[in-house]
Formats: sequence, C-alpha cells, structure tokens
Amino acid sequence: MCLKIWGFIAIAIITAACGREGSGTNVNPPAYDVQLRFINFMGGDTAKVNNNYTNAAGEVFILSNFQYYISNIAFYNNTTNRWETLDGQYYLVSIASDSSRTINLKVSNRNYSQLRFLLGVDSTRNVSGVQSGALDPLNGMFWTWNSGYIMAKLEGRSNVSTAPANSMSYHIGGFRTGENAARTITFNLTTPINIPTNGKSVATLHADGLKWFTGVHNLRIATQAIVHNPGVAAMQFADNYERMFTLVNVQN
Amino acid sequence: MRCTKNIWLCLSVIAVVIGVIGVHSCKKTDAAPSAPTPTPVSFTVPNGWPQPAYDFTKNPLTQEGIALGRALFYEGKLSKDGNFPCASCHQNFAAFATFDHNFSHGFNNSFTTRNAPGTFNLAWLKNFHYDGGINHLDLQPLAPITAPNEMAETIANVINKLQNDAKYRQLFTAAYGDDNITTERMTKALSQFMLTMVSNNSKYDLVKAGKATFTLPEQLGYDLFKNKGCVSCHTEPLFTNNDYINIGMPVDPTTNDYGRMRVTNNRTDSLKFKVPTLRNVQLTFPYGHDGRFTNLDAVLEHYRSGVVNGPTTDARVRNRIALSNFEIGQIKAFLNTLTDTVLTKNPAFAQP
Repeated sequence: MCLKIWGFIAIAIITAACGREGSGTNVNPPAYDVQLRFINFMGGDTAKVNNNYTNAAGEVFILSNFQYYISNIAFYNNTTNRWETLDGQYYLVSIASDSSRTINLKVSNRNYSQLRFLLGVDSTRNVSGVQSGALDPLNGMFWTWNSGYIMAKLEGRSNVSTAPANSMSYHIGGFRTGENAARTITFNLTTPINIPTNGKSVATLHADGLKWFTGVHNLRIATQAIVHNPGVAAMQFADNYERMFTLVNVQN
Repeated sequence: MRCTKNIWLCLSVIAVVIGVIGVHSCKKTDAAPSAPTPTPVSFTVPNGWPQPAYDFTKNPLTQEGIALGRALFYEGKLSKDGNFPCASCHQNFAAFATFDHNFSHGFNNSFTTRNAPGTFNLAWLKNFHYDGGINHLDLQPLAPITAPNEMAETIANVINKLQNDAKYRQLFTAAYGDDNITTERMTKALSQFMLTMVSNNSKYDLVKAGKATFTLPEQLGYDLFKNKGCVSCHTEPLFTNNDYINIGMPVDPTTNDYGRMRVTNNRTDSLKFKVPTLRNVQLTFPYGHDGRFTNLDAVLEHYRSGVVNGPTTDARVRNRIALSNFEIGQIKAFLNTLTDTVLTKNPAFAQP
C-alpha cells in the first residue's frame, strides 16, 4: 500500500521537475534590449570625485564617493497591463566605475509605458545569507556587524563637519519595518519604450547627489556628518534621495 | 517501512531522493564535469532535538566543502598580519571559545569587547552575536574578519590572498568544481565546517539516552536546574532558548555595551543579550557577554545576590534566585555533565 503511494509521488515529482523547462508557457523569453544610463550630478554640475559642491544649506563639501544599488527593475506594458519585473538582478552604480553606470537589460516585450526600480536592496536579500556579484559583501556596501546592505553611499569632506578629519560619510541602509531605506521609484514614460528591430531602447536618468540634503528634510553636514546605522537619520536621507532621480529621455 | 509513524520524514527523504534522480534524468546537454563531484555528507539531527534553523539545501555539506572550511578556520591569511585565524579565539580545547579569557586578543595588541562563544551547535541558531546583529551563519565570519580589533582585514584582501595561494585554488576546486574563489564560497565552506561541530556527547546526553546515570549531586543539581527556573531560558536540549534577556548585569562604563538595543534601536532591548548555551560551560569560562564572571560560582552568586534591576530586567530574575551554598554545589555538579570531550577531542575538528 505504502509503496504505491511512494511510486505515485515519485512519478508526480519527476513529471513536475521535467515540466519546469517546458515550452508551453505564454511568457515570451526576454529577447529585447533596454539600456538604463545613469549620469551622476551634484546640482547643476556633473558629479566628479575631488570636486567641490555646495548643498542647499550652503555647506561646501569635497566629493569622494557616490554609489547606490539599483534592483527590482520593472517595466509596465500597456497591452498586457502587467509589470515585468527583472528578478534577481542587482546593480551597483558607482562614481568610481564608468561601466557601472550603464545597465543592459533583456525584456520580453517591445513596448513599455512605465519604468520602476528600487533604489537599494530588497529585504529578502538582506536576510538570505551571503550573496555574490553586485551584492558580494566585499563591495563594501554591507554591514558585517549588523547584517544588512548599505543602499547608497555619499562620502566626502567638509570644513563644517565636526567629525574626525572633517569627514562626511553617509552610509544609508536598513531593511526592517520602520527603518527601510530602500525606495521604489516609478517613472511614467512620456516617450514610451518602443524597442526597434535589431536595436535597443535607452533610458537616460540623472541622479543628483545634492538632493540628499533637501526635498523632504533639510539636512546639514554641520549637525550630522556621519550616518552609519539604520534608523531615524538614515530614513531622513532616504526620504530625500527617493527624489534624486530624473528621467531625462528615452531613445528608441 | 513504518509509514504511519514517520510519514513526513519518509516522504521528505523519498522526495529528495526522487528529486535528485528526477533532476538528473531531465538534464540533456550537460558537459562532462571538469572536476570530480564532491562527496555529499548528511547532517544528522540528534534524537529529540529540534530541526535546524540552517537551510542545508542552500549549502549542502560535502567532504570537500568541510575540508575547505576546516583549512580556512585555521588559516592566518584571513587576518591582516596572519596571526589571527578564526581558531585563535575559537579554540578546539575550549569547546571553540577562548580559554580563560574574558576578552580575546585581536590585531595589534587589541582586545575584543565581548566574550567569545563556542562555535558548536550553530545549525540551531538563527542569529549570531550577543546582540543578534548577524542574521545568517554564512555572514558571521565577515564580522571578525573586518573588525579592526579582531582580524582587521578587508574581505577583498582575504579573497585576493586566497586566490594567490595554490593550496586554496586546489581546495576550492575540490569543493566547488572550479577555482573561482568568492566571498560566498569562502563563508559557506566555513559554515559547512562549523555546522559539523555538533555537541551532543556529554554525560547528560548519555544519561538521557539511558547509557549512563547521574551521581546523586548531579541528579539533585538537575532537579534544581529545572525547579529554580534556569531551564526556562537555558532550555533543553540546546540549553538556550535563543532569546535576548537582561539578567540584571549593569552596563560596564568602559565598553558601554547595551546589547540588543544596538541592533533594534529599541529602548526596550537595552541591556538584553542572547541567552548562551550551557553546553560545555565547564570549558568556556569566564562568563557573561563581557566575561565579567570568572567562574560558575560568580555566575550563581549573581543570580543569588547580584542582580541589579532596571527597566528591562527580566521578571524571572528581578527577585533574584534563592540558592543555598549546598544547592550551588549541586547545580555546578550538573552543569559539569554538559561537557562534551568527544567534541573537544574529535580529530576532525583539529588543525589540519
């Protein structure tokens, strides 16, 4: 009696396992190319390491690092009325790496009217143990003593900073409820993505680091030059950097 | 086969076996493997123990993975100056704690700020460190590697050093099929080795299995251990409930360690620290998160007369615990039955 049950289960499992790769599904394979290009700014100027910039409070700082995670990228298709989310793809956009600012993606359809992404790393990957690729802890975007990703970093020096060596160091992270510094950003595309045959669509975005200091909360280097923990200060910076992106154009 | 009793166990075992066969039978175009397949090792849950918290399906144990983890555990290159392998603080003979040290030695004549715990029975832990700040065993090694007062290295440097070492290229190839050395592979191998350190061969375990009997003081101590409420936090069989408790140890103004609050930013977690296991407690002195209690007498004296009540002090110790000297002796006799010399003398855990 028991053996019969096992046999049935065995057949069921083999069938299910083999069926996973079957071609009977109606989702198109991701075959079309979309590129996201991020250009980093500080206010009206292109962001460059070792340059001086002035925030909304009039505080001058020298920039040394600016980087952020982009993940959970999704495109909205008007025909299917569905978001197509690119799961498992994580990108670290860094001022130190030109190539990191261009993200090449494969999508299943040609036409999309909205773009969405997460600035940061979703909570799932914050509690799933050690990761590789862009999420490898050796990239310096991971807190080893209080497990979790730094969603975004802005670093430099400023004479108004009271921290050692006049440091300005904003490591913004936290994934727990009430402390989640990841932010979902959505754009309605005035020029929709319409991927040409044998070509690609390119969406260009500007990221303005000066928006970290203003928008929702007016933040000053003089009062808080260092943020290295999840919590209230990190959430304030996150509320601000949620608005740092501008979609410049879509080229098809 | 006893289908009715162990039906779920049977089901899951058969499902795994069939699953493996099934997956293999589906593969069509796999090229010949470039390295011999690692030899799987099964993880045995001791009788009567809960299911492990660690998800072995994400990091299946293999002989080669464990061997790599063992080499890494004893590898000085994981530290900045080569002097501080994991094993420098997690010593085999001290049940993988630091023997007779409140704090452990780190890079450049530094001290840690907490007492090193033993690295056994980790499969049943969900969070690590006294404040629970680390949420996965595979992430745990990164904390001491990068702490300036411990191994003082960067992860990138460690990976680089291992990549330039022919021995590790060979060990990684044996464990993973190629010599791609990554953070993930390194810490998962360390996890594999540490996960094999299961401590379940103490006299207490023999008594529970009916293979030995307690002496009278041990039995009286065991009864007191349960009747005095110790067992409510130091829950059998792991002798911890993995909770965070303030047992009335006032903050040390030199370390200002408020425990769990640092992780949760929640005032109600002030001075709460993870309940440590009492297995091998005879070997892991001194005690307390900062090692302030030199010996078991000092710990038991704390519960009898030293508890300092604050807003978060646990209700179970607020009124202190009434203990006579005689009872303290009996409880100590029982605690000494939790020493597992099979763990400390197992050649599989020694320096390779």
